[in-house]
Amino acid sequence: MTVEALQTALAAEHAALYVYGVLGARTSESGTPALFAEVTGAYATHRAQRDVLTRRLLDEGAEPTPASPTYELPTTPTAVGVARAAADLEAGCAETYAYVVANTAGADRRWAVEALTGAAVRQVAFGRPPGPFPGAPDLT
Amino acid sequence: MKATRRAVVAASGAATLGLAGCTSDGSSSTPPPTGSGESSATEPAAADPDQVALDRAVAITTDLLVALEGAPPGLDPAGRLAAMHSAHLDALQDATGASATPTAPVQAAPPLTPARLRRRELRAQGELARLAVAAESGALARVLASMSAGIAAAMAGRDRVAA
Repeated sequence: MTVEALQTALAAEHAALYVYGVLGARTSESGTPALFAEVTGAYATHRAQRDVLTRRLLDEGAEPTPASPTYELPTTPTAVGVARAAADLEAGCAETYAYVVANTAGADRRWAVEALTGAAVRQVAFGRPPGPFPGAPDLT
Repeated sequence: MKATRRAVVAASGAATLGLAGCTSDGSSSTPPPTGSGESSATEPAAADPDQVALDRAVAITTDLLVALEGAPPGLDPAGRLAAMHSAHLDALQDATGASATPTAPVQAAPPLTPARLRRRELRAQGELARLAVAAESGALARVLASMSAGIAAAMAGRDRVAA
């Protein structure tokens, strides 16, 4: 299950990078500096996670899943819309990493726990109230 | 966003794994004695590591909840932290089938301050994360990791309000 779980996470990271790239372009560094910093910080985090997953899959002898040519994009004409879209994106990533936690062990799971925690904290940074079970809404 | 949606579906599937091997009394994880009176019937049964992790998670969560119940007003606005820990305890009870009732701490704890509360919560978050990594059951690991992430997010939310 490890490779399948890591491939799922890599696919999610490809999507996150694509969407964050667009969200960054729709965010004003001068008009909303805090939001811009959060978006660019999240982009950097997801890029690093994508690279870790790619290397890990290559180590496993697997072909890393490629990015899709395009992804569905949220409608984000305002800063509030950008923050909401980012929070939604992180909620999806949290669910992905909760799945990875359940389907890996050892160092891979430790890394996934950290990624899940990061996604949960970023949801809050984008204005989403914290919930009791990030990545696992079925437990609520 | 298709990839993310697919992952959500997969995550839902993971939730159906159940906590195989995790019971409240350990009865299903240890074969019953054969009645021959020899060997294994007289040896102490090895503790199920996931049961130990569940028990520890219940203890951690109960401690946090009890501490909050005795905290000065305003330390947990709207009871958000207490509500989260109660939800965690409910999930753990669902997992174990046990009744884990919050009990008073044996030793009187010093009064809870914001800094002390933060340290306690973050210490619990770290321990739950370590229990998640060590869990044998993937489903249990997911529960514990989500609880840990929930505490981290709650503390981030408090920081955000305070800023």
